[in-house]
Amino acid sequence: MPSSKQIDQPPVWAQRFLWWFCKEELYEDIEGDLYEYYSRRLQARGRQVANIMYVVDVLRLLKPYVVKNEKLKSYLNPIAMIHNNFKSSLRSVLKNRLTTSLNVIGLATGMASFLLIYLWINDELTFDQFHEKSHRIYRVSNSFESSSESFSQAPSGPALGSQLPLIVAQIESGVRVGRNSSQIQVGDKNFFETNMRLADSTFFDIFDFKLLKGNPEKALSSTHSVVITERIAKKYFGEEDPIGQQMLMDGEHSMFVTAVAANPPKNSQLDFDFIIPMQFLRDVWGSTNMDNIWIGGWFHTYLLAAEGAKMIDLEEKVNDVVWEYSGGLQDTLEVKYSYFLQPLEDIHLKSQLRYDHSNNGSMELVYAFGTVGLIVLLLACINYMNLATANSISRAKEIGVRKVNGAYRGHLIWQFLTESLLLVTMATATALVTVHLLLPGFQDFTGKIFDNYFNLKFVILVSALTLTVSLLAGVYPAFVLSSFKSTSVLKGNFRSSIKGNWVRKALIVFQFVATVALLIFIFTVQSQLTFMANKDLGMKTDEILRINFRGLQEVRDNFDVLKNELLSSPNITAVSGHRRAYPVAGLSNGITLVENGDGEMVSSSLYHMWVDPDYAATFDMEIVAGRFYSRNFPADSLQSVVVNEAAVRTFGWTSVQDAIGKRFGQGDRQRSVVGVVKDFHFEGLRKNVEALRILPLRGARYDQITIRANLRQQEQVIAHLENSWQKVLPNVPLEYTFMNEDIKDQYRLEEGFKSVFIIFSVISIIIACLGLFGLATFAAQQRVKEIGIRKVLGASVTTLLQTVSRDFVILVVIALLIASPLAYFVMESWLAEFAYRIAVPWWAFLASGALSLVIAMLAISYQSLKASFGSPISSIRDE
Amino acid sequence: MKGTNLGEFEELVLLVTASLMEEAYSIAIADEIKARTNRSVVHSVVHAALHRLAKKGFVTSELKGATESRGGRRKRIFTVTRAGMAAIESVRNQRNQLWELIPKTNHA
Repeated sequence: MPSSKQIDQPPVWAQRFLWWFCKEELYEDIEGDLYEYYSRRLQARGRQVANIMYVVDVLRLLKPYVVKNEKLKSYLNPIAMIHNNFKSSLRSVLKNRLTTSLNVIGLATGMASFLLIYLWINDELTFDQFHEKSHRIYRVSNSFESSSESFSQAPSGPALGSQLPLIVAQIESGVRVGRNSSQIQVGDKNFFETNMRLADSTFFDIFDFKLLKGNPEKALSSTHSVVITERIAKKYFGEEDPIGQQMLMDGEHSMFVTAVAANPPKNSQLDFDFIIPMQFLRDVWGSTNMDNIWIGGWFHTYLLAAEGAKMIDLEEKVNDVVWEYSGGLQDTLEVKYSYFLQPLEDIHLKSQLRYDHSNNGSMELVYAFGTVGLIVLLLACINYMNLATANSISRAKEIGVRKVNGAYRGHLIWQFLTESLLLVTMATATALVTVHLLLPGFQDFTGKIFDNYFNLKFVILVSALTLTVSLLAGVYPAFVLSSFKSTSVLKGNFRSSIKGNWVRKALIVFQFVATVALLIFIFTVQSQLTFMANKDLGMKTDEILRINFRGLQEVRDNFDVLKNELLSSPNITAVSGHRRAYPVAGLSNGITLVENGDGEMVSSSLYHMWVDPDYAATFDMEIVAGRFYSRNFPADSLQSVVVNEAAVRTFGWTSVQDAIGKRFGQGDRQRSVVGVVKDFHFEGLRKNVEALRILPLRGARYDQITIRANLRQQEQVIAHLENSWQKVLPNVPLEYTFMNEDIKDQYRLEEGFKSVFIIFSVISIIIACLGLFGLATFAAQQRVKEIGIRKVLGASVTTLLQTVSRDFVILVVIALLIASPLAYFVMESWLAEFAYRIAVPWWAFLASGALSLVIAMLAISYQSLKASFGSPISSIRDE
Repeated sequence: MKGTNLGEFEELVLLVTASLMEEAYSIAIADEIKARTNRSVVHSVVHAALHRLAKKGFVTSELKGATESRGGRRKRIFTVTRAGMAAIESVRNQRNQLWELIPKTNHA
């Protein structure tokens, strides 16, 4: 026997293996031969090659005439058995058509769901990975703190992006990116464009967005250049060459197209249609120097770090530099900004800051989807295990005969694994067709595009999936079936029963736990959505139409004419103009001094909006103390402020009445509170209502118009609106939305959750029912004599039905008991994210339990009824 | 059963064994085949062929000659038996007769 490791010896384990399997009389010279080859190769090609070749040589000697172990010998020539296994698998698959189709449908459904979910997750996980330098790009975001509040926000001061690369050596370059929307006119084409970005000229250097035409280095270098995407070029210029063409922005700025970019990939946080140079703002801002403004939240700022720079070091340097330039100002304002870096690739899934990208996803959703995908796949595997083991009685004789003819257990395991591989391959093919057919619908549903998904990565995944599933689903049945004793099965006293197999029972319970839990999720999410839809938001939302004209001067100039024109219809009761004050999906904020309950002036950041005197009436907001703005008080515009109830709580004022007269700001900008408005929800119900000051708008600096109208006469209202607009503002495109829909839009994520739960609970129910139906079929077949005898002895159909169904019902009840606490905890933690929420509804548990029982009964009743109604003569007669 | 027919590779191994005389053990045979026919042969294949030939009674073997280069293991030296010689000779005769049947004009 080979022993002890020596230098320049072949691997000891291989030698031992050879010694173990090789016949003694052949061993000595074989080992000598291999050793001789080994020393030759050691000299010629090195140790590693020699070692590998030695192992290969040993394995090649696994031939029947060399091997001494009889059992091992029987596995050495698998080719003949592979053929035979395949043949008998195919026969059994074709013979049991019902089981086969149940299995293939179940597995294909599971695999198709898994693949679709994979496509979605893969897309989410690859956001912004296409930039060559993505691992070196960071966004500077900041946390704001004052005495009354603290929050983190995505944008930072404009100085950071332009100055940090000049000051800090490890920062190669920086780019500031802002959002914009404008009216664009080219010839007779006239649209509002919402997907515009402001960016520094370094944009195309840091990010890898392809330019089809134009020079990336000069595209954004002059104030009035604009970069447009392919689709925009087509929209405005058709087949003409867009380079050098003029676009009129907001009716006053002439922009010239300097470059055409390829449509940006969908999986980027920086989706855009237009890019306007940051320098353009100089035209608008006049003398204000952006590069001196260090604090605040202005633009998303991305930095390109030098190769090898550490994020922690950079973070420290950024904080040092900003403090150096703005520390004094922060002290004066009694606020504190601290800066942190976010790696570019992390932002899409891991960043949920204030003013973040609107298309950001969430890691939780990726996990939720992933878990659901795996569970559905597991359910499908379980289904296969159940059906295959339940089917065992029809295979028992075959197994017995094979064993008698000398098959070892291992041979049978291989045979059943071949069978599961065959079935899973059929299911894979079905799943691929299903995915292909469902893809258009899935793209609409997710808002993503899955072009060219059938790439190498996908093929590898599908192959791996096929193998894993056939192994996962096939191993348990293979071990169960191969364990039958040939003596007992051939004598015929072999029975496999529903009662006898706790593993199978556990599998069914697991399937129904998933089903019941998913049902509870659906009911709870739906209840929360209904609750949010019906919640009193502190204003009337169902009669509101909003026109977003983005502060276009032409509209402001004609506001009063338009308002009178609109109010001429009896269906329109109020019109209000306002600025940054549409109370859906959040507001902007600012820092000011506020008098607190102790009479001290404290620095605070709070939400703000600017409105005209008709605002409260238009939204039907309740004034709980004092008054709202009025045209009868011309001094309002300089001296007054209105707050919400949340402000009363935040600043420690004793009551809403006490709030009247409290001071805001200082010097000649000081205002005092004249009224308190009842809290209204200007953000989604995930968040609490926070302190808000409502400021009077001086002049007509509106950016939006809100109309209160009788929307039961929607057609007339819209017609009147369109006519009035056409009359007063023929050159401006009209863009309006209904407030209720805007509010609903805030809950897209929740609606998405609901749809996902619904789809997958339907799938898991289908799979579970397929399994149950299959099991009931076998149970009924096995108990056919028992049922016949019971019937002869006088049992009624009802009694028989109970007898047959009882086993299954017990399992579903157990599943309900396990699923309920599980679902309760998951839903409780989901609801915890909402400031305004329901309790997990108790009826959801009852309803889910009842529903799954009914479904289970339907699945088994066909077979149970068939068994109970059958004539006892035919079932007892033969033996 | 295959009986005592010689396969193509077996014939090759048998011929080489006969030509190598005292030095005919598996590695030398593999080397010789490689040198003569430029066919790359694996150890286990030669070993299996020799085993079959022994079973048919065409070769016998003996363990001898332990050397340092083999880690002290002995070689199995193969010798062609009388039956083995007869077998290759009969193959040769068959081939020759078949050659005779080919009309000479065909390969000018």
